[in-house]
Amino acid sequence: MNNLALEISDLAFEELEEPTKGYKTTVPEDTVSIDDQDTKSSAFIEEKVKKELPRVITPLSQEQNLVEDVRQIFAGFVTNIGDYGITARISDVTDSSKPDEEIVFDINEIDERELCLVELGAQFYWHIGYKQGHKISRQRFSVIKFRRLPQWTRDELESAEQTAKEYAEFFKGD
Amino acid sequence: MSLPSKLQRNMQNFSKVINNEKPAKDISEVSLFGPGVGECIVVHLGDNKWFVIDSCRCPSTDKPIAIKYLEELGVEISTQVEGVLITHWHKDHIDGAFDLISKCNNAQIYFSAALLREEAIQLAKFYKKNPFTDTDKEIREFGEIIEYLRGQGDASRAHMVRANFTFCQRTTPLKIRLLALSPSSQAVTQSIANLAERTPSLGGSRIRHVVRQSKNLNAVVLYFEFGLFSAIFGSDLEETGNPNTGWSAIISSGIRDNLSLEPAKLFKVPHHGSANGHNNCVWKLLLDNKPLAITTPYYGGRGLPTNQDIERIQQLTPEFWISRKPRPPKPRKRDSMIEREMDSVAQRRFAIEDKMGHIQVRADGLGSLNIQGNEHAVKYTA
Repeated sequence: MNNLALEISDLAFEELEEPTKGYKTTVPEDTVSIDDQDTKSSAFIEEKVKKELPRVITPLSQEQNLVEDVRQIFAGFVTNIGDYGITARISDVTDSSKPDEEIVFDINEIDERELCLVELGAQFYWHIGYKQGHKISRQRFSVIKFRRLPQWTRDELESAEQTAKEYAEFFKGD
Repeated sequence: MSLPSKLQRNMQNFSKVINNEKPAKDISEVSLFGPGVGECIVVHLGDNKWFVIDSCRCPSTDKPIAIKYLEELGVEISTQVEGVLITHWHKDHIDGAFDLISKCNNAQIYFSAALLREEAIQLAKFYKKNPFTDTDKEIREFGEIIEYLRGQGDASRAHMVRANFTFCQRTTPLKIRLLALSPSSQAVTQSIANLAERTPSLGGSRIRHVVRQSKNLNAVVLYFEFGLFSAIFGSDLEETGNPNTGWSAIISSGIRDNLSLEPAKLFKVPHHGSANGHNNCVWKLLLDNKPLAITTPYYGGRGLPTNQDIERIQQLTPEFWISRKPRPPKPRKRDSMIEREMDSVAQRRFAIEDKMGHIQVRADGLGSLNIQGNEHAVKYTA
């Protein structure tokens, strides 16, 4: 299988006319000879794919069909970053009557692509729920996503600076 | 955090009902409220005059605890509260302060000096509620107070407090004084510099937790004298080792001799009893040789006071009262799937909530004390 994978790595791929339902399946054109008759035999294709091809299968349509049932949302922000992990304060968005909690979690819980967003005070959402797709059985999920917020603008800076000056003068803070 | 057996032996719970009768005119009162994420001190200055230091909310009614308590006592809040002090703007000291201040129509409003400076106000203007993000409640609360006072157009109600500031002073029929022992001038300057560092820059991110729990130099420590009774309220002032800031500045300034301060019989231990608020000289020079010690717990981080803190303070006082057990409450249960998933991600969890602890100290002008705690308060004896 490994050798085959190397052989086909530079070959062109083309989409099958009748992809297996639920998958976008691509097959290397030159590696497997498929004549018209063969094309009509889905059993044959499946057998070929199974025996000879690497699993070049992108579960696009399955992802699209995924249904997420979010049961719990927390909004949180980072209060400390230490060797032992990340400390954060979380508020229950689903049931605001519940008190805030402080939690400590490992940095590995955060998607590597989001690590650049982690800083003191960084805000995130934590979603917990179930997901289920066409060929994916029901499973629990827990996702921590850091927020990408608009940066401070020049207008905001100037406005805050000006008002602060005026107020400080009023309170004789200068 | 489980308590060592020695500490458990020396710890007492209470089931007393706090005295909800208004104190007589010649009796002073210090009521410390602390639910683990908040702290508030209500002081009776005598003669039906009241002073409130910091603010936190009652968990059951969401009212500022000072308002709830004073209403229960039958105090006319709009006329009999003379002053409200915000010692610093940490969330656990400012929550509900806007509601409190807007009800105390006749009160003077006092802020730790750096808070009325341009740098602090600028932060408040940045971090007001905006559509993009939640903002820190403590900054919003502070911003609302500033806006309210500005809207009233009377700047004379707002005062900047630093060491040696006098809130009230009477001599008849008893000597009554309320003074500030901190922050020092250098601490104010340093606090302003810290605030300036947090001012957002162009292209910077909108973060939360702008007011960090560390580097608390700007807190206002108070000295209260009522005849032969005296108390020091330590706020969250930390020890820095620098003779110009923190507790060392109070000692090195010679304020005790300059203002003829009698050794205090009651000490609100600073910063929830933490080691970084401890200074031996304070216990030796500013306090009576057997002072009563009171504090509130803090449930964030590792939690305060730690067992070591309790043991240290026990050696310095015959009675150390904490408004609630220094053990954070467990989170409220959710659906079992949610609980499982949360536990699989979080190495440690605890709730930031609480029932309100209350320690009430009443003293007459001759210095005799009566101390009570509600059902949540605990007492450690030597």
